[in-house]
Amino acid sequence: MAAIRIFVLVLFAVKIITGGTTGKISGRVTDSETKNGLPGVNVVVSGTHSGTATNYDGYFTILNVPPGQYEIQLSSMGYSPLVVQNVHVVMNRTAEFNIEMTPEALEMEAITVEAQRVLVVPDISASQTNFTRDEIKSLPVSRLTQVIGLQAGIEGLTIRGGGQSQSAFFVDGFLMNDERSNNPYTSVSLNSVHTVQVQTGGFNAEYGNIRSGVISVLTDDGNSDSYRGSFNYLHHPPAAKHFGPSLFNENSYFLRPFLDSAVCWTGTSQGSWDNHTLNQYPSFEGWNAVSDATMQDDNPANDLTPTGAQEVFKWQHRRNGTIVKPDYSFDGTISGPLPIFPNFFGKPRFNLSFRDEREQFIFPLSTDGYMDRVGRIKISSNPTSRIKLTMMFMKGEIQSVSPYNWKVTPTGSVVRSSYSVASLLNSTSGNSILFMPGYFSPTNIHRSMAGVKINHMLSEDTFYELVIQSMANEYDTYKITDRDTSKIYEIVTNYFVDEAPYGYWGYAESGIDGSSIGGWMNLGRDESVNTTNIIKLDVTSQLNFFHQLKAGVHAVFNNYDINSFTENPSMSTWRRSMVYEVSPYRLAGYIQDKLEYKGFIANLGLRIEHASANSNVFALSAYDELFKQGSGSTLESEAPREKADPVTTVSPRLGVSHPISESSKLYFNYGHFQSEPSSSYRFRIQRESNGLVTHFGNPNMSYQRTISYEVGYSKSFRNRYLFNLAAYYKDVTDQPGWVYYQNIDASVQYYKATNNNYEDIRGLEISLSKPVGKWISGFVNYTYMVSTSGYFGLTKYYQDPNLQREYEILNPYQEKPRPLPYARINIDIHSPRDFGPKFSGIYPLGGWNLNLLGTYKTGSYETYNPNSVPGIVDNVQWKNRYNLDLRFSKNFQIGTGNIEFFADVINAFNSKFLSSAGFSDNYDYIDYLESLRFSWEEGKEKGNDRIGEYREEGVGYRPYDPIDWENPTPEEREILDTKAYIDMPNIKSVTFLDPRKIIIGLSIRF
Amino acid sequence: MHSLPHKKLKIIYLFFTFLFFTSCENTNYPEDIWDPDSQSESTPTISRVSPADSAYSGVGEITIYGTNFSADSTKNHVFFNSSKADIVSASDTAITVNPPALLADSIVIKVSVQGAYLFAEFTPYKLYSAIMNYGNYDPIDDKMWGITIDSDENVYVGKESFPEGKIDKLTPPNGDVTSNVLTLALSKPVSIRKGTDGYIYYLDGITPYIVRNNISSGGVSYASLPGAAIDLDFDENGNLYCGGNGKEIYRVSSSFAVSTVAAYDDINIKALRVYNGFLYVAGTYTGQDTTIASVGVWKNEILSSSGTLGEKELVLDWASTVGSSTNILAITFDEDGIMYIAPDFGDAVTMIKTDGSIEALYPKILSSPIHKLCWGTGEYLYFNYQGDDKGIYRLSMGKNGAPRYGR
Repeated sequence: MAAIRIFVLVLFAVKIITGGTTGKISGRVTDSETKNGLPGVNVVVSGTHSGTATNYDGYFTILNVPPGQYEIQLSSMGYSPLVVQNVHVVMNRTAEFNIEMTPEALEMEAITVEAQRVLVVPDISASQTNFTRDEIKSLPVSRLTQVIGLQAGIEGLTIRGGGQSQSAFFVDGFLMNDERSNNPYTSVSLNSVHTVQVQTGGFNAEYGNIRSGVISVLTDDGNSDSYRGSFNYLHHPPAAKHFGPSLFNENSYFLRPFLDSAVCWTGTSQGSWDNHTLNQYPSFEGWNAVSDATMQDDNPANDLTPTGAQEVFKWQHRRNGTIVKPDYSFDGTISGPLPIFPNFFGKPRFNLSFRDEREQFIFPLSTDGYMDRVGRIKISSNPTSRIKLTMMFMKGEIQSVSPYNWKVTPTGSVVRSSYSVASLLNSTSGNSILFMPGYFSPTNIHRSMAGVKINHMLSEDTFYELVIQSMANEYDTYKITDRDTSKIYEIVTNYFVDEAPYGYWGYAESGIDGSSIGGWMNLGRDESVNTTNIIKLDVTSQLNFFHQLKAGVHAVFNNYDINSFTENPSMSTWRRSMVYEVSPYRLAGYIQDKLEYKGFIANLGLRIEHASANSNVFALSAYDELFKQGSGSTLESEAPREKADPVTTVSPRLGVSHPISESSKLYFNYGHFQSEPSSSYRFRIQRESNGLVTHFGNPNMSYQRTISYEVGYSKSFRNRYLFNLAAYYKDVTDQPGWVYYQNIDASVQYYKATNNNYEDIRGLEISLSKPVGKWISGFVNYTYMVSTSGYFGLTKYYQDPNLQREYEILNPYQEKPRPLPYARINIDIHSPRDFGPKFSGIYPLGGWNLNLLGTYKTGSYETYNPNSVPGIVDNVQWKNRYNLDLRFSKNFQIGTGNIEFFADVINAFNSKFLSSAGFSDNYDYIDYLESLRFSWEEGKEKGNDRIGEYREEGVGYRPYDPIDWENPTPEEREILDTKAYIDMPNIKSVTFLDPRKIIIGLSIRF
Repeated sequence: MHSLPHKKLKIIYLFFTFLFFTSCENTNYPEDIWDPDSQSESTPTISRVSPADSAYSGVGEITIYGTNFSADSTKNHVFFNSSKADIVSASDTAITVNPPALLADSIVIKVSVQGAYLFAEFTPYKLYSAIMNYGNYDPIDDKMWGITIDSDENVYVGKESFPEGKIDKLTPPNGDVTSNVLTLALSKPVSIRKGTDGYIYYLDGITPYIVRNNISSGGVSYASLPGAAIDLDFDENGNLYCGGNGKEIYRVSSSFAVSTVAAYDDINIKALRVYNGFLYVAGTYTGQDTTIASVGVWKNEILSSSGTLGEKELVLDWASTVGSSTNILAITFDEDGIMYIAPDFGDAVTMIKTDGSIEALYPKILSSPIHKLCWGTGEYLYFNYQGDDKGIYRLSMGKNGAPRYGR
């Protein structure tokens, strides 16, 4: 059959988000001559069981269509059949097209119409981004969160100023947030991803316990008749993750005083270093003095010569943390018919995905890197043409290190980035952190999820989706292997030592240089487990072409078995514990009506939520005796208690979109979004070993609330470029904070959780994108945001009126940060796969791809006020940051398979930005600031410096002290030009992080 | 055509290989600071020590001979048990040290040399005290002042008691005390001298008298002085010179006649010592003339056997030399002409060498204030220590004092 191929504009537009993981196709079929609606036209989605017939006015709606590219067949007696190709259905959107059918004068072949993508979706009423796996794979990123973080208004997973705990992360409709902190678990195989949708505002009523964002990932369903696979491997050879010398180099901050012969024997104060050099390093008494000290007892066996003592030091600092292992990630998925049972119970398909990612820390801690490993299997089947059953099992594991030592019991936070590890170093304990592997406790987090989802079309107009899932998060912050204290290592003749500082040793012990090699180490423990069980039922019904009603009920049952503490056998007072076991729950119901009129689409919704802490509240006065040491441990048995109050919230939601033309629209949304405070605010009772209560959670806390307003404008140009402008305001109240209470004799001193924080966030986002292009595509976006935060009432209460008065005099001001705009630009240059001459079956010039990803961020402000002059705030600013990453790839088509090689260059310009991790302590930081020449300074100190200015390696330090500052001599001018006057941070090895990094990769698909 | 996939794979392989190697970065690995195979420099050895076997604690010098020492003295460290010695000089084969103030037998001498993992050891060695508590006086109840020594090395100690002072006699070698060999006319004998005539002469520093008691009979006689005197010393002709707050030098003849032989205007005389034909006078200037040493040692030449003195001349501007305003309490000389000065605080005894250089005497074992310095007939220097553990002490000096008259 010879098809007549024509192109028409077909709208497949995004309506207001409907939730779930399917989309919808709707439109109107009319007679091409009379323009009247055609009733009874069969509209069938090819290759699926989905289809419908147009109503009396020619309208049709096909609900519950999985995202993807479809061919739609239209047929009606007396009219030429019609085929619409490339109808693109997107999760939670409506693909709409209105089309005319031609009366059949004579038997004609089917007319083929190709749908064209429309950039401005006229009825979207919120800021929303969708991207597919193919759009992700060209970017120089390796993790989903990196892609999400490139969108306007998002930094990391912070969306429009709201932290990651304010967002929900779904995979195939299953919630992946860990409700202990409500932080999302985002590990997912990129190869398994079909579509990702990121929404930063205007959430409809089906979403609860969120305030800032919804991220929905849809993974591929397996094909019922063939197997497909997709794998990639990224490899970054071992290399330093910082500029400058190694931390383990003999000249590093932590070693030079002990190894440099200019000072190491006599001590730094008696050696030949100049004053500037002395200020750059820790002080050391010298090996001669250490040797002398070893002689001062009656035990000749521990006598050491100075050189012998230095050898012992070298042994105790034998850890060489140079990175010798590569970073890598392996990401793969395989899908297809379920083996063994290919035809059982609705042709079950599977999608098995796995991701194993490992990044070496900038220097090793109790583990040498961060490991994230996740596996998922999704099994889908269609027992009947109207039912789809999806089962998912997920198992994930994170291995890293808890950054807390004593004051904070482990919370589940772990380190990963270069900065998060480097900033642990300081002048007092840095030596132990670097050379004693167990200083910080290792942490494993195991996550598992099992869920089932039933999607049932009750009729052509109505379907429901039932989701049942259970997720468990197990934390294990643990003690490393005990130290073998056998003195079997003969460091110098007849001088034996044990393996210290390796292994766990809970008793105070000093190294030969005086640094701690025992006791103050590996304190954190976490044996917490929290489980979340969710039952969710959503019913969607298309009442008529203009109204789609959706309603649902959700139930979330949590169990927090939190057992987090610090432990040390030699000092019981070091023990702090945070222990609670509670089972709160929340129930929600919602209803929303989606109104779809031409030129006006609105979504009205209302969500009602009822939550119970399902625990008791201790009825204690502010300075109750039971908070005291000795009494606090009996609090559970002695304190009067009453049932915690349940919380009921009502959240209205509204979104309106108004198309101005075929290529532009205005939209507006408004809503109340409320979420539970994290569990530690509600249930934490933290005590020291003597029973003194230090933190007292409040199960009666209110929900945190964000009232959000957003207005936006979108316009496309030549159907290639999409411009979007969005402005928003978020009024945030009732965020939790800790308020301090102290009684008259300070025998009671604790923090109590209170809903006292507020925030006003205002922002503007501008983006321009060219999603598709034969040779070039890309995007650029700019985000301007400013927030004001503060708290209601006071953050400290003293029973002593004098202290209270003193505190109130010094009561800190509201924080009003200045705006910190940021921008991203992405340019993807690619050659078509069949471009250029063909050589031995390949196109040497085809399939190349160069993706450039540039980022910019305005430097943040800080207060530098060494003289405590009242009113000085935010008077110094960090330098702006910019960066360029790129991916260069070549694609080979081999039969039905595809192989791609690529190389990512991260920080392509090898740009250096000063990191605060380089400051050994606050004095070092102040020294650095004092050496800078700020614009508000006067005389010889006046300049244009910002924090982050630096003196190049090789330029010696020379203070700027001109004779006549208005007419500097050439030599003085050189000091300014070379910035020789800057007193650089002491820890040079971590002053500049993340140098250029090249990652090579291989991707195979079949 | 069948070979086409192989060609593709070959190209792919080459491409991958190229990327792999071009992506390698400079890892800039530092060396491990711990090298299990590192070698010590040669371990030092000790072959002998001089003085062999033993030496005074805290005084003098000990030379250690051996191998693999460093000629850079700062790279050598010498311990006597746990006590560190001060290195005077060093060569590859010998180290000379001032021993620590340690009293012990079976001492282990350890030498470490920078670069060597192990000590050189030498044992046993003994350090014994150069100082002896002579008479074992009670530091609280007994109040000792002047001391003098006779030709038999007996030490006479003037003790303060009311109303009559006493003289004890301490006999060698251990300073056994014979108490109250004399009962004095003055209660506080701050300075005493034994004359060849069998008398002990003494002053109390306050009253203008010089008194003498016959050791055998106890008989007392006295003479009036023009002013108060605090110290006295004989010359070789039997003339006894006295001085004190009277700001003059008085000569007392063998017939007990008194005359003024030198003026020390505005100078409170603190100590006297006859040496090598001169009378050395330590004093503190109380006047306003800034050209005059505020604290100093002057000398007057003894011009005749009748005790006439020449004009005083400044020997030592003490305040300028030591940089402090301490007062001089006692002076004496050794056989080499080194002058020993005991001030009221600071280094207990400072040696003024003949070349003008100064050096503290045994700073490890002596502390101020020392009120009297008196050589015996041999190598012992006796002194009266007025600090916490006050008493009469005998110090081994390894040399004789300058000739002393009287006895």
